[in-house]
Amino acid sequence: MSFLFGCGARYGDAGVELMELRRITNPVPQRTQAVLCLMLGVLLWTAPSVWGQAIGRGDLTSEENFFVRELLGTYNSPDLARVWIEARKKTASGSARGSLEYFLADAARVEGDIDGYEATIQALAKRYPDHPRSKGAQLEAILASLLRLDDANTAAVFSTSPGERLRALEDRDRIWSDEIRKVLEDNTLLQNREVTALENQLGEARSETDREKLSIELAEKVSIRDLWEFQLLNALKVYSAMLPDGDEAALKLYEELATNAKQFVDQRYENFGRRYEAQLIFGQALAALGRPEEAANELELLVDIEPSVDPPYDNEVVFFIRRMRIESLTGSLKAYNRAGRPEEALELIEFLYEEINSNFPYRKTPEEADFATMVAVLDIEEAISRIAGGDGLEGIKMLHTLIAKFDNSDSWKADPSGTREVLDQLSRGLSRLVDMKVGGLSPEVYARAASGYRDRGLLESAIECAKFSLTSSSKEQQSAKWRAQALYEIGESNDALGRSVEAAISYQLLAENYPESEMVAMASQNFFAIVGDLASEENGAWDELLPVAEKLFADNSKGLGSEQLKLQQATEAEMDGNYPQARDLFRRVSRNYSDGNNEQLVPFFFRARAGGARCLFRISTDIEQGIIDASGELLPLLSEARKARNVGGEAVLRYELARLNWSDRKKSSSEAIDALTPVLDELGGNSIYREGALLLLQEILCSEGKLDAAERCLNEIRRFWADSPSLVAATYYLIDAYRLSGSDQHKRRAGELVMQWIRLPEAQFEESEPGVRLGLASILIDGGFATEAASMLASAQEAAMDTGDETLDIGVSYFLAKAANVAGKHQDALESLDYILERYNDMTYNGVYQDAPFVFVQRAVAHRGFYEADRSSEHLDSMSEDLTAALAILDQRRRSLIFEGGAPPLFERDYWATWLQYMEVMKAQSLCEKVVQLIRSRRLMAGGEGASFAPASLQARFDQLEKDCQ
Amino acid sequence: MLENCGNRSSMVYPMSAASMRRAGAALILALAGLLPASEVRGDQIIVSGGRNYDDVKIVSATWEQVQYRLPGVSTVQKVAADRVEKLVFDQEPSSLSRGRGALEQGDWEGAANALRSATSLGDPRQKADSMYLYGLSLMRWSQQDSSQRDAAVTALEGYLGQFEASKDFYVPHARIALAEAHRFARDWSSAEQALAPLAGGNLGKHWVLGARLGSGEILLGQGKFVEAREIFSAVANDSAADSGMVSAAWLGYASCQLGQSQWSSAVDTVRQKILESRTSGVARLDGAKARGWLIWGRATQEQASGNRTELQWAMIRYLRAAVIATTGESEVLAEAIYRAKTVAVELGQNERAAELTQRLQKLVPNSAWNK
Repeated sequence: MSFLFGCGARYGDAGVELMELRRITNPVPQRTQAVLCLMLGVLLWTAPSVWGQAIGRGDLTSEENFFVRELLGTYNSPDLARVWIEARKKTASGSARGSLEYFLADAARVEGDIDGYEATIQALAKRYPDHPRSKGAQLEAILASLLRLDDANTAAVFSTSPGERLRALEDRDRIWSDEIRKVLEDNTLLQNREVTALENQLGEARSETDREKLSIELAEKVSIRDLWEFQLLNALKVYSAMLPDGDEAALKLYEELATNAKQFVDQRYENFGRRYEAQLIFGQALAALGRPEEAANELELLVDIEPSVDPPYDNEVVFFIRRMRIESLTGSLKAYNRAGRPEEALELIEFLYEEINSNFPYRKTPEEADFATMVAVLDIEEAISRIAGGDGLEGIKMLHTLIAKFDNSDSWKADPSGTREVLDQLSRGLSRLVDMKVGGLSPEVYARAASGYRDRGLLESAIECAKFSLTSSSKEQQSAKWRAQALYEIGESNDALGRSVEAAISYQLLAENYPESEMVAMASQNFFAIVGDLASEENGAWDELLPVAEKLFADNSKGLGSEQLKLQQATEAEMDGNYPQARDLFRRVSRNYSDGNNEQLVPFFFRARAGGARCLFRISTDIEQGIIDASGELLPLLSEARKARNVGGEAVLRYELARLNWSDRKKSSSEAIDALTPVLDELGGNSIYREGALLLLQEILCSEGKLDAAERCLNEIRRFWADSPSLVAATYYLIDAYRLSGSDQHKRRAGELVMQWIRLPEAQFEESEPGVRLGLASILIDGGFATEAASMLASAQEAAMDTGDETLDIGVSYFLAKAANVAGKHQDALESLDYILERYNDMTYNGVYQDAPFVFVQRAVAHRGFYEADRSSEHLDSMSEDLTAALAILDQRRRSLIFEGGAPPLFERDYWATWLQYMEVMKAQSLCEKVVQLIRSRRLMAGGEGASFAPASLQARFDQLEKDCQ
Repeated sequence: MLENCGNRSSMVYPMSAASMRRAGAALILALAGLLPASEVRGDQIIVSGGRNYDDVKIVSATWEQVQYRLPGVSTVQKVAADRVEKLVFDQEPSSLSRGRGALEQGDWEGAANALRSATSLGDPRQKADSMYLYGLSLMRWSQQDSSQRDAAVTALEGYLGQFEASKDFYVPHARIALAEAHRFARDWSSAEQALAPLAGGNLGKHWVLGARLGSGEILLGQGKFVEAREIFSAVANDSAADSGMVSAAWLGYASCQLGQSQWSSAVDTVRQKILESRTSGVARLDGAKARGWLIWGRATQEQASGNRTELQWAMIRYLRAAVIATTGESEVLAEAIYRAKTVAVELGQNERAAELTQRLQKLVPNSAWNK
C-alpha cells in the first residue's frame, strides 16, 4: 500500500498511477516533461480498466499494455507497435480493441503526426464512448496542442530569418492562447461550477442514500476539477519557459503561475501527489522570478520528503519521492544560480553532502535509468554553482564528466530525447555562468553557452558570448572546432535577427579560418546563398564577392555540397531560360556522394534528373518527339526511385511526367492522371514533392470532373498538409468542379466545401475582396446555404459601399436577392432587384454587365414564389415580362458566342433553362399552342423534327412540356 | 517524515535544515582552508608563445618571473614574466574571479564593484590582483564616462604605492594603464611620467618596449604622426618584442598612416602585418584583427568619394570588425558600429542606420561613439 493510498485520498491513488506511467516512459526534455505529465494524467482514466486475463486473446493484460508502451516510449518503435497491434486486434475483445486503436493513435503521435493523433483520439472517443480513455479526449486534445506549441517554439529557436521566426512565434502564441489556455480555463471554470453545484446539492440532500450517492459523485468531480487545474499549471509552466528570459510577459506569467500553484497547494487537499508537484512548480516559478530565498525555502520543503508509512515501500512511491528530491534540489540550485548567488547554492550542496548523505539524493548511484537525465540536470546546476562560487576545478571536472557521458553518438542513439535535454540544460547553465560574469572560460564553454543563450531566446547575448570563444586564449587544437562552432552560432543568430551581412561575414570567417572544421561545408553554403541574395539585391561589392563565395563553396563542399552547387546553378540557368546549359548541369548531379565513410544516394538526384528531362522537353521543337524523349529519361528512373523508397524522388518524377502530358502543348489528362495516381495510392508521407504532385493531380482530376478521385486526393492533402496553401488550392479546384457539374447534390457539396474553405487560415478569407465574397456567396446560394450566403453578403455589402464600384453594388444586391429567393423571402428579393433596376435600368436592359439577364430571371423566380402562394395571373404576367427581357439579352449574347465559335456548356445550360421557365409560364397562361410552335421551331433549327436542341438534362423537360401542351 | 497528508504543515522540512546546513558548511569551509596547498591544483599560466602551463599551482608572481609547481612535484619552477600574457587562478574568491569575468565582458561598472570589495582580501596575491584590476576597470570605465577618471588614477596609484616595491607581477601593466588614463585626459606629461620607470629600463628591456609603445600612443593622440610612426616602426621591428607588442606597434603604425592620409599604405600595413600574417597554431580572431579591419574600413571609406561599391566594401570591413570585437573591447566594437552607421547613412540605408544606432545605444550609452 502506498503512503498516498494510506492517506485515503482517492486521487492520491491516481498520483501513484501517474508515477507508474512516468516510469515506463523514457526520460524526456523538461520542456516536454510537463506535456508528458498531461498525457499520463489523461491515461489515469485508462489504467484501472486495462487488467487482462490472458495473453493473446480477449482483454489486454497488464504485460501487453506495458509491452506496447515500451515499444512506443522506450524503444520509439511505432512501426513494430503497429505490427503487433494489428495482429492483436484479430483476437481482441471489444474493450481491448478500443485500447489498441488508442495505441495506434499514440503511434501516430510518436511519429510526429500530431493532427492525425488528435483527429483519431476524437473519433475514438465517439466510437468508444465507454472506453476509459474516451473520458480524457478533451485533455488529449490539449496534449496535442502542447506538442504543436513545442514544435512551433522549436521552429522559432532554429529559424534563421526574422520573418520565419516571427511566423513561428505568432503560431506558438496563437496555439497557447486559443487552443490551450482558453480551453483549460474554460474547462476549469466549468468544473468548478459543477463542483459547487454538487456541494450545494449535497448540503440540501435529506436522505442518507442521496448523500452517499452525491458524495461519490462529488469526489469524482473534485478529482477531475483538480486534474484540469493541475494541467493549467503545467501548461503555464511549459509556455512561460518558452518566452525570452527576463521578458516582461514571461515574468507576468511566472507571477501567475506562482500564485496559482500556491493556491493549488493550499486548497486542493484531496490529491497529495499533485500537491507535491504543485509545490515544486511553485518553487520553480519563484526561482524564475528571481526570488531565490523564497524559492529555496519552498523547494526545501520537498528536498527530503519521505513516505508517511513504514517500509517496505512500493517502487512507484520510492520513485516519486526520489524524483521530488532531485527536482527540488535542482530547483534550489537553479534559483541561487539564476540570482547570481552561487556561493549559497554551494553552501547548500556541501551541507547536504557532508551532513545528510554524500550520495544525496541518490545521484551517484541513481539505481534507475530513468533518473539519469534528472541527475545530470542536477549535476549541471552543481557544476555551475561550483565554477561561479569559487570551486572552478571541481566544477569544470563535473562539466567534463557530463559532456563525456552525454555528448557522444552512443548517448544520442540510446536516448535522443534525454541526451538533448541534458545538453540543452548544459548550454543554458553555461550561459548562466557568463551571466554571472565568470571569465577565462574555454572556447568550448563559450560556444556551448552561446547556444544556451539562443535557447533562452536571447540572440544578441548569444552573439556576444560566442565572440569570447574566438578570443579565448586556449591553444588546444580542439579549440578550432569550438571557434568554428561559435562563428556558426554568430552567423545563425545574426541571420535570425535579420542582420544578413554580419551572418555572411561570420560564415566567411569560419570558412577562411577553420577550413578543417566540420561546419565549413554548411558555412560555405550559407555564405554563398547570402552573398547570392545580396548580389542580386544590391550588386556592387556583393557582386565582387560572389566569385569568392562560389570558390569557397566549391572548395569546401566536398560530397553533397558540390552536388548542391550544381543543382543551384542548374536551377538558375533554367530560370534564365538557358535550357541546354541547365540540362547539362542537372545531368551532372551525381547519383551518389561520399559522406566520409560511406557512399550515399544524393537526396535530390531524382529531382535533378527530372529537371534534366524537363529541359530536354523545353528545348525540343517537335512536341511529340520532345515528350517521347523526356518520358524516355523519366520512366526508367521510376522503378529505381521506388526501389530506393525515395518518395520525394518518385513524386518529382511522376510530377514531371504528368506535366509533360498536361502541358499547354499536349493536354492528355488520362496519361497525366495515370502518371500521378500512384502518388496518391501507393506512396505515403508528407514530402513536399508528394504535396506538389498531389496538387497537380487534384487540378487535373477536377478539370476532368473525376470528383470521387478528387475527393480522395483532397483528403490526402488535408491529412498531411492541413496548414499548407496546397489545401486551399486543392479545395478551390474541387469547389469549382462541383460548381460546374450542375447537379443539386454537387452544388450542395460545393457549398459545403466553401464553408470549409473559408475556415482555412491560409485562405485568408477575412482579408478577401468583396468580389471574392460574392463569388463564394453565389456558390453557397446554389448549394442551399442561403443563411450563410446572406451573412457573407452583408459583410460584402458593407465593404462594397466604400468602394463606389457599380459592378460590386449590383453584384451584392443581385446575390442578396438570389439568397432571399432560395430562403423563400421573395419580397426581400424583389426589393433588392428593384434597387438594381432603379439605379442601373439601362445597364440592365442593355445587358451591360454579366448578371444583367439573371436579374430578370431572379425577378421571375420571386414572382413565381408569389404565384405559387396566391395563383394570381398578375404574377404570371410579370414573370413573362421578366423572362422576355432576360431572353432578349441572352439571345443576343448567344448569337455573338456562336459567331465566335460556339457557346460554352454553362451558358447553354442557363440559356435553355431560361427558355424552359418562359415556356412553362406560357403553359400556365394557357398558351400551349405557342409553346408547341416554339419547341418545333427550335427542333427545326437544330436539324429537323425530333431533333434535340437543349443540353441533355433539360431536353427531356422540353420534350415533356411539348407532349403536355399537345 | 510525513505525519499526515491533510495539511500544509506536513510538508515542512523536518529539521531546522537551514541553520544546520549553514553551520555545516562553515565547518567544511574552515576545513577546506586547512587542506595542504599541494592538494589544490589547476591554475594556468597563459604565455605569448609556445604551450601554456595548465594545471599548475602558481606560487608567486613578480614582473620578473612567475613561480609555479607542477602536479605531484614539490620543486618550484619558474617562467620569465615577460612571456606571460595572463594568469588564471582556479581557486579564488568569487568576488575576484567574477570581477575578472566582468572586466573580460566589458561590464566596467560591475567589475569595479566586484573588485572594490575584493581589494580587502587578506591573501597578498589576491589583494594585489584585486587592486590592480580595480584600477584597470575604472580606467576602462573612464573611457566611456570621464567622471571615473580621477578614481581610476587614484586606484592605480594606490596599487603602485602598495606593490611596486615588491615587484608585483602587474606593476608594469599598471603603469601602462595609468599612462592610458592620463592620455585619455590629454594630460600628455603625466602620461609620459607614468611610463618613465618603464622607459628607464628599471623593469627590463621588455618593458622598455612597452613604454615606447605607450609613448607612440601619446604622440598619436597629439597628432604627431611622423614621430609616432617612427617609434611604432622601431618596436615592430625589434626582435625583443613579443607578438602582442608587434601587433600593437603595426596597428599604431597604420593609424599614423591614416592620420597622414596614406590610405593605401595603411591598408597594406594591416593586411600584411595583421590580417594576412600567418600565425602558428589555431587561428584566433582577436582584438588586433578587429582593429585591422577597422583601419581597412576607414581607409576604404575615406577613398570612396561617394562610390557605392567602395562604400559597401567599407561597410563590410567595419562589420567584420564588429563580428569579431567583443564587449570586452567595447571601444573597438563601438567604433566599428558607429563607422558602419555613417556608411549606411551615406548609402541611404536608413533602416540599417537606425538599427546600428540602437545597437550603439545599448552597447555604449555614455560613449562618444553613441552620438
